[in-house]
Amino acid sequence: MRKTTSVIVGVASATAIAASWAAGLTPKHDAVGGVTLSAPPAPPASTSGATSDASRRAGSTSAAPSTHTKSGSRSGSSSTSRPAAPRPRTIDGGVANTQYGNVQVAITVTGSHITDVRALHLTDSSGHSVQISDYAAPILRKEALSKQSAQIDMVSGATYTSEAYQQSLQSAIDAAHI
Amino acid sequence: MTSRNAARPRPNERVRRALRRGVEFRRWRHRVADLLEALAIGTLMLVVAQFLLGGGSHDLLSGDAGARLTAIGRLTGLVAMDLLLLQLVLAARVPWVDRVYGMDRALKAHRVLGRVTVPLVLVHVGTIVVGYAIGDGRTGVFGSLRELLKMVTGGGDLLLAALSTAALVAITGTSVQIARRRMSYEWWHVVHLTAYAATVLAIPHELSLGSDFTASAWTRAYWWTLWVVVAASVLWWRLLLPVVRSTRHGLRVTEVVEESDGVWSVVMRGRHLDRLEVRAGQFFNWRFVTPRLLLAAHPWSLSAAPDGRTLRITIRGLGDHSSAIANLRPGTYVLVEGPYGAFTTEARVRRKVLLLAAGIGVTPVRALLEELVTERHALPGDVTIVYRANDPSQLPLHDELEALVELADHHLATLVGPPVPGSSLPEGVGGNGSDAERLRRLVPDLAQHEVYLCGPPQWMSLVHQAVRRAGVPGPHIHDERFGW
Repeated sequence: MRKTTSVIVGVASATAIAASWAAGLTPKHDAVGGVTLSAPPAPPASTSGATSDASRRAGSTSAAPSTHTKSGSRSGSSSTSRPAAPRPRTIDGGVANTQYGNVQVAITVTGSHITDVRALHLTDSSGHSVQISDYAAPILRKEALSKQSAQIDMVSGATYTSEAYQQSLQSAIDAAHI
Repeated sequence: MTSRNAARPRPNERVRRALRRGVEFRRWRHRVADLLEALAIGTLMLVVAQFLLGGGSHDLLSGDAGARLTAIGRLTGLVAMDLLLLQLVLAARVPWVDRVYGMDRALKAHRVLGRVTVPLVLVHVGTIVVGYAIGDGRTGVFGSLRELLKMVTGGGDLLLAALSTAALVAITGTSVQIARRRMSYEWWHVVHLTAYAATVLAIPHELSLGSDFTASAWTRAYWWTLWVVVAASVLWWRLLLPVVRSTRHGLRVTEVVEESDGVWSVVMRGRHLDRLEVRAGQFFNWRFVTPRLLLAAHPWSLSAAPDGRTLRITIRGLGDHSSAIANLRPGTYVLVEGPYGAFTTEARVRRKVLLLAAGIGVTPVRALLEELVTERHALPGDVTIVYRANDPSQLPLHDELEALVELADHHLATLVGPPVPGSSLPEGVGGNGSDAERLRRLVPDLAQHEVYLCGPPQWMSLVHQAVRRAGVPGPHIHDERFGW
């Protein structure tokens, strides 16, 4: 390379790197995971009205599923015959946005015990993404049920799904006040 | 050979035109070299800048140990992928790369990059595994190993990436072995071809997990462009063009001649050879269609200036393959990849030419001399050829050199004698002193020559040094590193 060219290329490279270094210091999104919780969870009222309200507020949740509104269904109808037992409540978590799609879970809480975690929506930006989700979801659910918290291991190969799953789960647990 | 006339004839029009073309070619070569190097550096800078812009600098500086390690892993992975693609381009036999740098230098750059790329891949794997392990609350060596196991067995993409890493490590290992001559060329070659698979196998995990590859439509477009361009280059120049050329020209052996002890010339004929763009000093990778020779392609230089009807190579029987050449039957089909190499008179800008050859390295030098003589691109007496051999029985093509030199009143110095450690010349030739002084005595006006040298690697470095010390500037020294 001739001298002039090397100087031009060198200066241009140094400028580009320095500028992007400076710009990268204050990332626009959560730098680690790129996962953001756009829809805060429903209040602990265990009804569905608030959730749909939440999804309305989140402008970018166009992918948020319609299953939303069904999540607050009266799941306790069968347990009415046993009044002694605490009624299971279903609480939706917030919608966590990732670049591979949204993730939202709903938990079923009986007393202060998480008895079920259902995925309302999982990362689905591509067929591959769906595969990863299908693979990761059962693992994440099992972990969540056994740990009874959102402090669960990431599933490798499904970092984004795991991160978003954790966040949505955490918001649901927070909302359930358990 | 020091018949210097006081009044030299002015260079005639043919010579002047040849030298002017040299000046123009050098100008073109500078421009293309600048462009290629700027592009290569530019891709690297873009990749790094994109990583930093996406919060890379933030991740590197702040965050817990796991996040930092993961950031280092992401950066090394990105840079390694970019370098891997550059390596593929360097080995893809792209004509511009070949004309500007020569295949030998392109492949040397390929090797040097390989020494950086593979360690980067290992750093990438190591930091990502440990970073994820910390993120999952696993610590220590055992924790990292468990994490690695979980990652590799977890999803399909990381298993492919692990295979890719293994292939790259195997390639490095075999390349070290072949440098030490502990492995056959064929085995090395087979292992080396897995580099294409390794690159492709690395792509799925970049797309599914590597957020830096898919951060925006622009980055996705950028990487896909790189992949497609590199794949197309490899496919066309490395694979299809040789097939097209081989079929088009249909080269066949016409005769095999023994030149001296264990040295044979193979003459080949083919269709439309006048339309094959090849210059004296270049080489092809040759593949003779016989059961024994088909699998190995060997780089051999043309030992005669291409005349549009025939091609000739001259080979010394070293390996068993080379000696099988002696038994080639006329009519045998020949497949070629090439022509390659920048060891040509294309960049010559000086009237006087010094050709230095040792051993079988005489072959391209013989072709260059023939071109200079038959094309009358040098004035009588302006070409000096120095032919070094250890033994008088090892002077293949010497008669032809003599005949060519005589045609145009050029000079031939045949230097025969056992090798002297640390010197490129035989004992006593050119008097006493350093090689540079002795060469200056052998070749008057040495510093004013355009110098071409070809021979065994150690000999070439000695000559290169001596010629430099004798006052020839680097840009006027041309060499061809023989062998793979």
